[in-house]
Amino acid sequence: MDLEDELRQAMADHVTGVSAPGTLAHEARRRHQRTVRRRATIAVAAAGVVVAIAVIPTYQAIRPQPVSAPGPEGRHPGIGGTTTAGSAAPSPSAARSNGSTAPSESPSAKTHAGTRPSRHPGTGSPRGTAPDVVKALLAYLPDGIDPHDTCHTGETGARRTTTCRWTGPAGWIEVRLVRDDSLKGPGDMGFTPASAQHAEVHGHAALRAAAGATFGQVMWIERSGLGVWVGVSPTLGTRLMRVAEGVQVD
Amino acid sequence: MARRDDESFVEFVAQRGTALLRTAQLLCGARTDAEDLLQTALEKAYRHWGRMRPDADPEPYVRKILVNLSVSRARRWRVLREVQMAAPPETPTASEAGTVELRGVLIEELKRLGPRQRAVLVLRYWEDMSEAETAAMLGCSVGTVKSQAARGLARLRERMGKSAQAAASRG
Repeated sequence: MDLEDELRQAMADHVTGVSAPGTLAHEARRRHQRTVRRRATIAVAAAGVVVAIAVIPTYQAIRPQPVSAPGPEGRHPGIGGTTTAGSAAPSPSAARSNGSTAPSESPSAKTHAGTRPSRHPGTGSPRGTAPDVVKALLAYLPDGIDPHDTCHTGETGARRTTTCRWTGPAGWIEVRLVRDDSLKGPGDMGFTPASAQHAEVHGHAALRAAAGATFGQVMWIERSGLGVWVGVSPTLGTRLMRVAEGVQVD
Repeated sequence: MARRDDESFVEFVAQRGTALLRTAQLLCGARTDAEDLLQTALEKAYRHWGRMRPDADPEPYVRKILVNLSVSRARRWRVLREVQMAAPPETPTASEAGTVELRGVLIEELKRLGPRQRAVLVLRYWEDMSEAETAAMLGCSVGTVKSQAARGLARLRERMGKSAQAAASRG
């Protein structure tokens, strides 16, 4: 017998008694189903990663941003970072830009020139999410003013300013809370109008500019390191002091 | 066009499972490995079973998967196998009468061949395939099949000769 025949015989001997188990087909199908499940899981996970990669930047782009102060055109960046047209009432800065007899220096311009709106908690978070953020509440809200406010916080150097604004058919109210350890008197806030008069709010010395053709404003030091500025549209000028007395710092 | 269904798969495995398992065992050596290899091959075949024509014989397709799997797996596992083999491989011993268990030695020497050479010998001498069929199954030329078969047989012959000499010297 030559080697080839021996090899054939050896192979036949080697596999004698070998028979396939009855569950072979079932096992193969089970493996297939497992493979399909595993591939589906991988596909879902991969799709999740792709979606996350695509969605997170989109979310970052569209999530509510802190609104900035009224700009030179009297416009407010709204929710989602889009710029929305300002209310019918002119903002303090807009009033000034019209060349009216507004205070010598616009609070908006002072506060927001070079102001970096805070986007992240801990570096000046929006809407009072950080523990050190203060918020103004109005105990008195004139008729025709929407009780929903828009607040944002910005900071310039050591000064952090939280601006809240209420608008409505009757006009607008804006409250600025200025936190700065160097504040000693209302004039230190830098919003002092040219024609300021001495007044008193919450028992504190205040500076007031009555509303004429432009907005009315009053400012005082609420407590050490915290100044308050209140501005109202000309339509609400007669209620300036009542609004100011109703300001509560939260 | 009609397609193969699950029932035909079960029927095919029931009819040809043992033959395929024997081929798998000759290709990879160990019984457990052979079952795993065959299950993997059948799973791959099952994946495309519905697309196979009902009048076509699925066995060459399954066998081709089996051979390709055994070759690629043997290449991949070569290092692992060497590490895992804690006990020395089972080697045939001379019988009491001093004669060599020729067929056992042949199988052991067959296992020691390279995966492709072993596949050529299994297909040629176990499956009784022609050189052309073997070449088609392995995806190589007829010349390669001829040379691989010749080298495999030569190596077996050489090792058989050494074993015979060793047996003779012990006897």
